[in-house]
Amino acid sequence: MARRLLNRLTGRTYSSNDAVNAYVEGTASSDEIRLVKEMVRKNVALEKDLYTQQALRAVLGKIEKIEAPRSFAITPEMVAAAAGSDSWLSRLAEVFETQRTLALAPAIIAVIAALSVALLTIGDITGVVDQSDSSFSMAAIAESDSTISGSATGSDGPTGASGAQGNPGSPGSLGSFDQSAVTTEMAAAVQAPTSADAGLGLSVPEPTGQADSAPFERTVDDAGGTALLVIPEGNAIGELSTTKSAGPDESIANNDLIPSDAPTSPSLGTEFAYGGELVSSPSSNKGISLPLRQLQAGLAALAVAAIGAWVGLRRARGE
Amino acid sequence: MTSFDEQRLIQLTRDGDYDAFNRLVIEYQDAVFAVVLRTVRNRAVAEDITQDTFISAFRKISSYRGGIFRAWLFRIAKNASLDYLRKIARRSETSIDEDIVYFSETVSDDKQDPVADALNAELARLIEHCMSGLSDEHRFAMVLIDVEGYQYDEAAESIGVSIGTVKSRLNRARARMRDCVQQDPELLPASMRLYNKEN
Repeated sequence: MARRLLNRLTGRTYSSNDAVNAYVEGTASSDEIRLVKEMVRKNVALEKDLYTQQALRAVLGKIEKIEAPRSFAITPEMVAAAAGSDSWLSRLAEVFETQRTLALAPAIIAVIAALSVALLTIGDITGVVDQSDSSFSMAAIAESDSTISGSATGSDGPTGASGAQGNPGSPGSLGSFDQSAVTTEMAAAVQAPTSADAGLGLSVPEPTGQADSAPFERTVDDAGGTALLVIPEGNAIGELSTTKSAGPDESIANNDLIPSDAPTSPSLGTEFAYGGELVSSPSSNKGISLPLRQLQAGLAALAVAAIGAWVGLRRARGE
Repeated sequence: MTSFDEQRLIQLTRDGDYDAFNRLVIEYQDAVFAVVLRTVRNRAVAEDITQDTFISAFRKISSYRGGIFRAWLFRIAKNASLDYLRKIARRSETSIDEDIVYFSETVSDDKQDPVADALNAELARLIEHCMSGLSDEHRFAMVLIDVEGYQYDEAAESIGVSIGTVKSRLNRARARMRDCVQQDPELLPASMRLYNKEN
């Protein structure tokens, strides 16, 4: 096996194979004949084999030549019919016909995806990459639609008192969330050092904006759920938690949704981000936190699909 | 047909000239049909595959980049044939004609022997049986070189492998055929049987 591989790498062919073939076909050179005779001397049974093969070849050569039973000339109608019955894969292959190097794209994608899966697996084993909470998904985001998300303020970047004016229609807002109302209330809460409403309130070291003593409580779920912003008194930084199925999942979602360039001034956005961290992640991550399983599954599926596309294209092109 | 003519016809085909391509079809249809028939071993299927081969060749003529044109046709035909064989293998179907192999002349030493025809038929059946036992790739190499008599370079181009690989496949195919036909030595030509007696 190793010799075979070595021969292939160095471009050498099998001299014994060549010699035997040439001998059987009667086209052997003097060197090849000498080699075959040497082989026969070492292995007497080989002589019989060679003789049988020569006779067999003679028999095969006497098999009658076959003639086409009819004309296979083509017509435009035949070609049109064939083009009409082409599979989508064949049509795709035709696109790549002129740009053959482009047809390698699926193979390259497959390699990259497979390498990524391998790296993620290695990272998982070595602890460089951690599986983030599985609730980080679009479903979780949709679920958090009804909660007060840090991104409601963090995404559009109102800081400090400017957030009190609200910023309706921010592209970063979540779904049907009534952002302007919340930001107004948030701002109001920021301005109100304490709330007299049911013990819920917000304590902010340097309240800014226009004061309004509105209670910091709001129903935001049209379906009847109630979301509360609970920021305990005495907590200078503030802590965000939500009720209505409020659990760590949503808190993590809030945390993850806050952009890295969230406001750094003592603002609501900062506090939400910080609050998110305070209640986040039931698992203590040492490495990079990623939705590992989902990524691995997705990349593996991508690799398989790309390999399938590559093989399909090759076959459709008749390679 | 000269090589120049072939290239000119190919160029005309690239421009969409059906007549030019059909001259190429007439030139190569016997060879393509023979190879396909010996591969799939079913006449009706071989006709369909041969027709599809030429239609496909016309449509893909832009991808022909020189070399032996017949080998390029064989390559299309081979892929279509192997696709068919894989398909029927998946369905576990067997649809094989038994009269694909027959001889243009008697292989018996005594042409006046009244039983020569019967022996020929038996030998043809044995050859057919043994060839069907080869893998598709080995059979294709053997058909091209030992039966149809093409050169190694053309066979290599037809199959899409190196000449060394063709030789290797042919070597194995011949060895398997040798083992297979020796199971019925009485059907072999006298020359082979004589050798067996002597040894």
